[in-house]
Amino acid sequence: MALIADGLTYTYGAGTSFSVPALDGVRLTVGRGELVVVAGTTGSGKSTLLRLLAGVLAPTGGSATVDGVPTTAPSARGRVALVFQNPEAQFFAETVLADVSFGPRNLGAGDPGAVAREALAQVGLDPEAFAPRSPFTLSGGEARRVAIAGALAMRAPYVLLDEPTAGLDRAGRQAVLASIAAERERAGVVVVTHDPAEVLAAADRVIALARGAVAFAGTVPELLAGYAAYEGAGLRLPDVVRAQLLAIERGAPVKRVEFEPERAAAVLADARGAES
Amino acid sequence: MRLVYPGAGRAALDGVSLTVAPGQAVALLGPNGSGKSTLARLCNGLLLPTDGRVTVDGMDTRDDDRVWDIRSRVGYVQQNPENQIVGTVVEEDVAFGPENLGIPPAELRTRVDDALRAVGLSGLERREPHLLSEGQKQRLAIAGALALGPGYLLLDEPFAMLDGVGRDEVRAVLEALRSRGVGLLHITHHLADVAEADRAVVLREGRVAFDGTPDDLLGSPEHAGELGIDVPPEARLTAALRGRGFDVPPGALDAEAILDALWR
Repeated sequence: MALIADGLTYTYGAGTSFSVPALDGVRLTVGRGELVVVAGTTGSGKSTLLRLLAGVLAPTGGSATVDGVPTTAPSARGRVALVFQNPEAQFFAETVLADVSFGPRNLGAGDPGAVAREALAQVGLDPEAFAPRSPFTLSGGEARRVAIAGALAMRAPYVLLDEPTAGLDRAGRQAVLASIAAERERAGVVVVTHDPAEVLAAADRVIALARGAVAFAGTVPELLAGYAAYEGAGLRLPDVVRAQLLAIERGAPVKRVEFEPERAAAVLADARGAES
Repeated sequence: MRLVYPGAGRAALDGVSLTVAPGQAVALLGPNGSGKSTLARLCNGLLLPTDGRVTVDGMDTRDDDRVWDIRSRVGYVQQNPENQIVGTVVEEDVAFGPENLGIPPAELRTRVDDALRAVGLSGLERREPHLLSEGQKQRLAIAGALALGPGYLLLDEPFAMLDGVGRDEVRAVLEALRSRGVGLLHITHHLADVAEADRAVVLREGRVAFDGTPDDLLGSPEHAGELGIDVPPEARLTAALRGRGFDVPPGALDAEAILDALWR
């Protein structure tokens, strides 16, 4: 039971003179309860990968399957929820409740309203206050969370999010990150981002794409042990982490690597103190 | 100055005073809804203040006769480059603004070439904008503003849609413009974006909650957090190191600078 990409390949306009290869032989497995981070610069194939995993695009080579079924098959409907970049641009209903309950209603959920209210609570928005509001009157952070709630309300076993925190302020980002952490309790989650710093520490696995191919794939400890391939893909680890790795390279007695700044300060201070 | 949107109960901006000098970079920070974008629209006369006044090189934005002078003195670059590209090829896009102002063809050519050179897009004059990278698109948007010959640029989250490579490209262009005397008002909610600014102003619910140097903010992450500002984790790291008695400056935000200070 997993969302699996095997040799996944996609070429836009395949067979025409305009063909553009976007993804080449990508392998990836996401189990329920796992958080997989897909990192890559603009144009590396991240969004194409998400569309293939969600069954919005059909692969031109290899396969994408969800719990053993091709993601484009009719029986795969409702198994993978995709949150596009800037999802708030797709609001259409008159109220937040109608917008968030649209998906569960289409999937034949017993009580779409109740599911929608639950999803709103999960993204940290009070269902009573927000349900009757027009989605077009929300602040940026609220709108993003309502749009994410719309995807979470589908209760899909796998949820894919494309740049979920881009353009949000601190409060909005913290709320979105908290709802991703909550979603992982019940689903497999894939987060695609060009700036993975804030989701990296919690990830089970990290995939770095460069020009459509996997430049790095592994766990976070593996990433820290060999981050050259990751940086070779045009990505950069958070400087809090890089400072500790660089200290190791310079021969300082760094005992472990921490993501959290205050803990990292303790690690660096100990290493500095041990030297003098 | 003060601005109340029609029908709104609360003023979007209230009692805000701000000066941007030529060659100066001012970072304007604040959470969503704090009034940052409203302030930017007041600066080039897209909005007029309810009370108080806005002047650009002495010209009042209320003065109907000067509105085009003001709009060409103050360039406006938005968050998403896709939303501001109108031409079918790069040079056409850059020419759009000055052409509408009635600039004669010979001068138009010079302005377009100068603007493209300033943002490092020379040689791509005939390229279709959708074939550009995101960083190139944002530089094209800046070139479009530059072709109007502005003394000031309003930048509304110019890095928001860019990856690390694109950010570095745009940052280098902005730094070069500033050194040539262009005044920058850079709207952002990332403190890391503004470490190089001369001044940082924080808006909160339409009022100025802080006005000082970026180091003052970076140096006290807790205070910045209380103001609703996104503090980079690196600033929290250096603050914690200072708390442990190490002399690491607030402006040290990359690993190399932090280590160099620590092992000095």
